[in-house]
Amino acid sequence: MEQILGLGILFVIMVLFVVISLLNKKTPVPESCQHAYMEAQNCETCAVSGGCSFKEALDMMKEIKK
Amino acid sequence: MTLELFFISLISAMLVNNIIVIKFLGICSFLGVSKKMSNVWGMSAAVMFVMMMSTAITYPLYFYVLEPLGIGYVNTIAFILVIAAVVQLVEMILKKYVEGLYRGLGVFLPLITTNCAVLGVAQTNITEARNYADALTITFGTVLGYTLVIVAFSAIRIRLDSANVPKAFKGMPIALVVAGLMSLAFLGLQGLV
Repeated sequence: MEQILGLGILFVIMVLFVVISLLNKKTPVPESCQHAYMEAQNCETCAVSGGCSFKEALDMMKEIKK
Repeated sequence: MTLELFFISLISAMLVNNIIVIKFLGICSFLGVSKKMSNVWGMSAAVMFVMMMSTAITYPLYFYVLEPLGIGYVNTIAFILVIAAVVQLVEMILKKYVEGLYRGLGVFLPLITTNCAVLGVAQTNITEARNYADALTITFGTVLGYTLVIVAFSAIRIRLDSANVPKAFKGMPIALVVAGLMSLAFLGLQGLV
């Protein structure tokens, strides 16, 4: 019974995470911070120059193949 | 918590068990952000904020919720979710209401959400910290160690940009050599505490 309660709590945390992530994505980056934001996200050391995300890596690989 | 224990935990986390050059956690931000000194301070402030906040939440979560309910084994998943949720919530609030602070600190928050150093500290605390205050002290020492190493590394990289480095070593290779030498230097502090 205790374990089910614990897993229920974990599920609530998961739902909370998804909701917060969606809300955060919908909140736009302020115009005056756009440049600083882009500069901070540019991580040239993580395998791909120009970004760290898996999607960006895939896009770059596609471009190279072309 | 005695003053002696406080300093032992602080020095140990900061120098002897340095998160970057001894434990090799948070290497991506260490190499990626250290090109500009202005970014280094912003990143360090963001790491300080996120690590302290994540420890403040994950330590009680483990000892008062997960462990008593017999699901301590899901701590990694729970910690990742809690850290990511809280950091995104803070980022959202900064974006919406505190633009100035967002420009200086908030822009680094997405990088830290998935940083293994934050999870590493949360995991270390549940096994090594004696109590809640000790966990917060270890976290504070860890962040000071992170800041010390990344600031020193950034200063060296800036000087290396104008140095006469062989072509094959220019850029990342020489930076990695410097990181290795820094790691060796910190190994010399092993018997300190």
